[in-house]
Amino acid sequence: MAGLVARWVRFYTRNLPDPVARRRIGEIDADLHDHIAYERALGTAERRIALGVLSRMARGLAADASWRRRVRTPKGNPVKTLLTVLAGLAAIAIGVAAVVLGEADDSPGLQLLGALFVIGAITFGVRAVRRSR
Amino acid sequence: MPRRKPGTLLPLENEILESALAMSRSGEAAFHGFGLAQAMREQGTSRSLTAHGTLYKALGRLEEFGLLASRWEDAESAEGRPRRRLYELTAKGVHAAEQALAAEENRAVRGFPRIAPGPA
Repeated sequence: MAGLVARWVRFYTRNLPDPVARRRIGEIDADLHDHIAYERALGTAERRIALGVLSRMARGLAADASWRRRVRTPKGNPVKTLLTVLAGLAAIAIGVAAVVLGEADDSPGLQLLGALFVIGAITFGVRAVRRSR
Repeated sequence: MPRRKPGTLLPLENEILESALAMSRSGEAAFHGFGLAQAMREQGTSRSLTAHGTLYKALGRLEEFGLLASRWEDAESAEGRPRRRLYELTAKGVHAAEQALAAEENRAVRGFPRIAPGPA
């Protein structure tokens, strides 16, 4: 069973940055050794030890997957960030244009739409910045 | 899974800090993953040993938050077995652990049932 856990950790750390993968593999290898040694010292039956090790692996599978996703994803996608900023600026520009044109055309409805565009773009931008932190 | 509110710790993370504080107070400032899982089981915060993925992910997060610091143990100390990653509470971690303990004690006191009879 220890072999299965060792193979699993090497599988879900594949293609990760070397220091990250080596650290996780090292920690799990040490944990496995300590767990098995502890249980053997208590006289626990091998089958029970194997089930305990398997249980710890199985209960943590989801956490392993989410950890891998987290360490693989680079913090911030520059292209996505640039597109978001450009979209926000475009929305503000359209909003300002609508307000100016609405004033020139004596069209309060257009001015209101323009103001909503600007407020919405600013709100969206602030939320996006807060989420990225 | 609910989104983590920025600046908050998950219940498991608080349990880890509390266990780490208890171990530190009993003279074991540096601990490793299996030792921590054992301590948490003995202290009754978990019925079974914490899962590998759950435990090491939480330890990593606490280190990112600056509440724990870690290092590999010396090769000489690890003769005949894989080297352990040793963790210690930082000053910030001690403070967070004490806050978590205080909050838990507060909850325990508030949850105490009324035993005195109410007004007639």
